[in-house]
Amino acid sequence: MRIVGLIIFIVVIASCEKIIDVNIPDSDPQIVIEGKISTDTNVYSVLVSKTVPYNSTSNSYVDNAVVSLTDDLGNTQVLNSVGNGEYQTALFSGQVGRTYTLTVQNEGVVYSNYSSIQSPVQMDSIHTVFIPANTFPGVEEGIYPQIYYTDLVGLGDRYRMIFSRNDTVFNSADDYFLFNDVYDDGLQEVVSLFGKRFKLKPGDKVKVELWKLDEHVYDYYQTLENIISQGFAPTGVPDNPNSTWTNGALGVFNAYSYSVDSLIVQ
Amino acid sequence: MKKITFLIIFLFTSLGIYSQEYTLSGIVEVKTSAEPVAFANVYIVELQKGAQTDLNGKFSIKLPEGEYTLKISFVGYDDYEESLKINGDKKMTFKMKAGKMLDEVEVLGEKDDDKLKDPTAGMVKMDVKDMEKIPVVFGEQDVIKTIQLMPGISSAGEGSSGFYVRGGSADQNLVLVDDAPVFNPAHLLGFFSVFNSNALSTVELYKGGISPKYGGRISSVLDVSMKEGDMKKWGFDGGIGLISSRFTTGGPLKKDKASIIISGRRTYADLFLGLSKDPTFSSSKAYFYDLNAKIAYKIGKKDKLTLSGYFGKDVMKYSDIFAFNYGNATATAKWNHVFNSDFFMNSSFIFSDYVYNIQIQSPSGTDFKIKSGIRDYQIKTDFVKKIGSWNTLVFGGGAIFHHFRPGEIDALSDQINDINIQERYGWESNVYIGDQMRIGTRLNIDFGIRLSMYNCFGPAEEYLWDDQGEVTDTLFREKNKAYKTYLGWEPRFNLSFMINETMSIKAGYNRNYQYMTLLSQTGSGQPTDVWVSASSSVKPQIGDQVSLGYFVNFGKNSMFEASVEVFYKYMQNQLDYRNGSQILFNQQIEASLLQGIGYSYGAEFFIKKRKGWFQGWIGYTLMRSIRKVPGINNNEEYSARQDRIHDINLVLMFDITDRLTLSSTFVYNTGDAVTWPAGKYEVDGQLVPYYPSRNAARMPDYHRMDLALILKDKKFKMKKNKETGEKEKIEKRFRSTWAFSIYNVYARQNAYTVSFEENPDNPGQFQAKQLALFRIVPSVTWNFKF
Repeated sequence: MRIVGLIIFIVVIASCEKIIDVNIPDSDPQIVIEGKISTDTNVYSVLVSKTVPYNSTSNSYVDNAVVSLTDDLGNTQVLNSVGNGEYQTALFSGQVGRTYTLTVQNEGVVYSNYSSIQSPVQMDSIHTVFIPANTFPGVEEGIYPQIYYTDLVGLGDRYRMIFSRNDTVFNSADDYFLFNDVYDDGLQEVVSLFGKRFKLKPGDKVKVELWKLDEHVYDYYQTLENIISQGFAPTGVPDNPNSTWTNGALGVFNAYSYSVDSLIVQ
Repeated sequence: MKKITFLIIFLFTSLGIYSQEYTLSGIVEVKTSAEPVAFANVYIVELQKGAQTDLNGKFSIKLPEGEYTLKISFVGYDDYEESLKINGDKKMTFKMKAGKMLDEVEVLGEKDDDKLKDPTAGMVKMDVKDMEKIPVVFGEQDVIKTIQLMPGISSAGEGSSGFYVRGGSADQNLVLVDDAPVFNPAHLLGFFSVFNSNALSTVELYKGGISPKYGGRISSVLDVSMKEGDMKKWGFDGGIGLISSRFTTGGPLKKDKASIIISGRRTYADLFLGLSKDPTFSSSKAYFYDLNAKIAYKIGKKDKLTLSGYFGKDVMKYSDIFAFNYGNATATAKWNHVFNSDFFMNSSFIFSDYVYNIQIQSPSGTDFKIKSGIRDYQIKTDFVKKIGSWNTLVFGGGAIFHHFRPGEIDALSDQINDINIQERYGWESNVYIGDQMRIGTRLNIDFGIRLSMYNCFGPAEEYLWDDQGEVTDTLFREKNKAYKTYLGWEPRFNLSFMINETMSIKAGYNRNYQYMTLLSQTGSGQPTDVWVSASSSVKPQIGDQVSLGYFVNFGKNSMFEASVEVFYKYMQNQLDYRNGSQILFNQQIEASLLQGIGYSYGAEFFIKKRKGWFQGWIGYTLMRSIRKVPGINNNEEYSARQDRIHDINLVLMFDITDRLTLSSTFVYNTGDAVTWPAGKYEVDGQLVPYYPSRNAARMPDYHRMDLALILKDKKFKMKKNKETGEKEKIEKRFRSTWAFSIYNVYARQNAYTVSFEENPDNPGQFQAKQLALFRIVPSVTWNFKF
């Protein structure tokens, strides 16, 4: 779709943009649940909220839901509300190969979702490269990061990369680095971050996490990215991200493993 | 089968009552060029009976013995009149002379009561010359843009070459150029259509009442025929505009026997890119071109061969990182045979191809090529046989081989693997029979039936999937073996009844099958949209339409014409996508598709002033187009994107002087039905829009006004007669016209897209941002002819 976006951009130079008022039919608020656990953290979080009108500036947290987490051995933990829609419990760390089920009960409806923790993939290396001026159209002269990893042989591996510089995590709609192995199963991959905002200077600390995702979680993030990234052209029919929550709840439950690597720019 | 047998018996037994009749058959040609005159009206004054010439200028009429006055009329030509004595079968050639007012043709050149009598409700016929006065974007005349100004037909978006007919989607229109289907009629993302008006002679659009000889799409047929070269002398015409230029030349290869015409067009806005000092721009390209050619050859008196072709391509290149080209190619070889004055045949071999190529060289070294397309090979034969003075029988058949190539990726670096989406093969064949009955002077009935069959051929891999669209099994289909067959009975029926000389009512019903569907990302048509074949899981679309119309002429000399038509259309097996489907490069695309029903209904109001120094029309369409697809919108009904409730078109043309014409168009339509966020929430640190229902919101209303000023040069020049020494008026051979036009005169910012984003001044709040393509687009074109 970016291709079409680019074409339209080339052709239409005379276009103009403005902010408009639109009339949108009302709808009932829907519950939103976001759960995240991993192999390595002691803290995990579950957030429960409701949708609000599109031009609203407030949030609508749900603090009186009953939230529990169960693994496939039958161990269950109940999570306690700590305010602002957040639910927590004591120490916990996820195990590779386990499947977890998160259950939320609110206003008489039970919502549940599951996620399995995959084996982590270690990154091969993080590099920096110097790109001279006029090497690639639109790329300024400077130092840029490149990350190498090798995909596991066999289709079905899903990844998300989290990039941070000087302890600032890149977390905008453009920072969803999601990779699958449909076109490049078992090959070594290089992720080149040549955008202006990734330009590095000596002394910068680069940190990269490589998350290994459950397939439906990857699907969720990918459809989420489709929706929130503002393309030039509308990418088909807008829809909600593909969620596996039961009873129509929005959001995701992500149980994942990860590897981490970092580098100080010389 | 019983029904068909009955039909044939019925047809043949109703004949032969008037055994004392003779056949007058003839060809109407242009006097100076021997080019056939299509759609000319032939009229026997005494009997109030008439016929119309076909695309080859031929007609025939049954007449009892007697003396008659024959009149032939056609827009732009002097009326032809001749007294005839009929005492046996007669064959004649009629030569029409170009009229004095050749340049001032009427829009939709027809005889006053033609439209009243024609049983085909919902037909729009245009002479390409009629479009000259109507303003268009970038000053380029365009049949598709002009046809979008008629009621029941609306543009698929700002500047789009796609169009919606009576609530159907853009891929439900069969677009034919000399019988060959054009898979993507758009250039430059739709701002130009593939139809270079210099190369065309007639344009017909059927929004209902589709003849059994057409098939394969459920909403409409746009039948465009290319001009034939002049059989007598060479001529040239062309136009030079700000964005593109075109040039046409045609003439005899062998006088009165063979002719050729070649027409070309190219845009050149990108030539300025070469002047740029920035290497990124100087090595970029963006242009398109078209080439039309047609050769006609008469063999004896009974046969004619024509060979025509169209070739067009869009090329875009952004430095070395991105190259994109796409285009159509069509070819038609047609043999036209006259058995006798009552019996004609057209037999054709047709080829059509659409392909797009993308090459990407990314900074990270991921280089690849993409190729995708569709190709058709077709044979068909049509017969027309007149039986008695009441019936004209049309029958024939044909077969099309479809080759679908949804896409392949060719990796040029080792960071990506090759991928090849499986190709699909289908045979679409048909036979049809129909009868056009003229009962007395008041009642006309056209009816017929078409039988179509679609066979899916291997090799193919088909998939089985669960309710979520996850593939659970693969079925391997053998090579050259039909693994799925669909059969479609397509009845067609049209009736017109003349209440009196100026009023008629019409009714029609037709059913059409469509065995291929365009998977479109936006609904407005992109070059990268993919055609998908019917298969075991994707059932063919079926469209049923009923329509009823009232037509009236009034005013002095039938100066005005008006009509009201109502329609109801029911569409089965309409495609929609599962949430978040990937359309491009999806091996298992069929698992992403859902099928349901659609229906549309509406009323079209039309009034036109067709004579005098001021001409024009106003059309208003009130319409709904609804879908219901299980799995979408909680299984409830929702508006189709093209559910434009109100649609208004106004066209005005003023002949200020003989040489100066001012014209204006105004269009208004309700905004498209779109899916917009009813709410928002936070996930993963992102603000996310919430979409509870499909197509529940509306784009802002669309309206726009355009103006054009056409200035012709003087028709005559003064020249000294060498013998007498006196000055006299001589008609100039070289003629030229200036066309100035302004698109979107009052600079309305019509929304092309609306997107939602976070308000930078108030983080956490969403706001709607509209993108408008044009404010005001002035253009100038100089057209010439010699």
